[in-house]
Amino acid sequence: MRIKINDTDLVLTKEYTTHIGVLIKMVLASEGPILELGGGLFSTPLLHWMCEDNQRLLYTYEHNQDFMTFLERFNSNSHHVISVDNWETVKFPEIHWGMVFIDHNPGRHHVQKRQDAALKLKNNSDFIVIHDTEERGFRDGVFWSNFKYLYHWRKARPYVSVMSDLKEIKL
Amino acid sequence: MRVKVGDVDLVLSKEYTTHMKVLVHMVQATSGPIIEIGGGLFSTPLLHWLCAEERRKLVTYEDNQLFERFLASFVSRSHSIVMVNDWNQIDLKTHWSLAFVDHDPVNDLKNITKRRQEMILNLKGKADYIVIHDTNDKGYGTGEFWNNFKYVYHWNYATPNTSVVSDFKDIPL
Repeated sequence: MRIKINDTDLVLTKEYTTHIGVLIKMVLASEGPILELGGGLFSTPLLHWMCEDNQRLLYTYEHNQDFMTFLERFNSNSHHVISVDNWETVKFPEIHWGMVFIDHNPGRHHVQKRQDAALKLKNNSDFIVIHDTEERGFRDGVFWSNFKYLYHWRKARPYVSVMSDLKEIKL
Repeated sequence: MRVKVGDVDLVLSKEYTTHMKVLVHMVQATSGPIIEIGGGLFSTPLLHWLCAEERRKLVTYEDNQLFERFLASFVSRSHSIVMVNDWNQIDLKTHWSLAFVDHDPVNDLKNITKRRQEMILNLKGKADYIVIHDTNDKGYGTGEFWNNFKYVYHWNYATPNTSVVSDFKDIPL
């Protein structure tokens, strides 16, 4: 389904939603604050409602202003939706994250930039979930060797992977 | 957020998503077939992926052609998408573990709550649990409609509200 949001043309498809099952399991399997890099039509509402009832802290960062009008509605006492000017310089709160979800599109070399974000956050996150891990930059195995625990969900494309250096992944 | 789908303007807003918490919980608290009355950009993907790994039976009914292409992409061995012209065409022979009622009948948009109530009463006795979105609508009133069911739970944390009813089982929320 093709939709137009201000100046952004978007084809809404099932492919945007393949993270849902893993996200739900990991939200339930983790404790503590959640960091979402790249808000989404599907992931942000899901994370919001799974956290909101029990006031679990959630931060969503997004740079696409066309999405911000939708995402900003989810701001609450426990959910902070933050507009990003530059993914290279953005600073996240220096806290220990129960879960990080990486699904942002920082332009060129986005796979490398997602990997950089994961490596930057690995020491202060129990679990890191990354969407679109079937992409070429993830295939050679070098990146995955940075983590003690790994789980790849490959039942539908795009794939979803979960990494941790701190806790075993029980999925 | 106003979006354009073909020639149709559509407003995507937080209000379309307030069923999520209850839906996730109720799907995980049950194990049998699920019927979704009214597919949605948010509920259909959510139900699809909650059911997919265990190949749990899921049937989504929708009457708005605008959503057909999006919904059709979720068809699988265990998930059927059925486009209907008449909401009386839905399967009431199966005993459903969970029914989710969130349809906006395109030929009667002025009477959505009334049509949903008729649907819910049709499902009574044919679903262990019925989850209903938008139950803050004054058409539901405070008592009479809900008195049709032995067990009733209202999630009022955010508007639109979501309610769960059952004649068979206590509601695990």
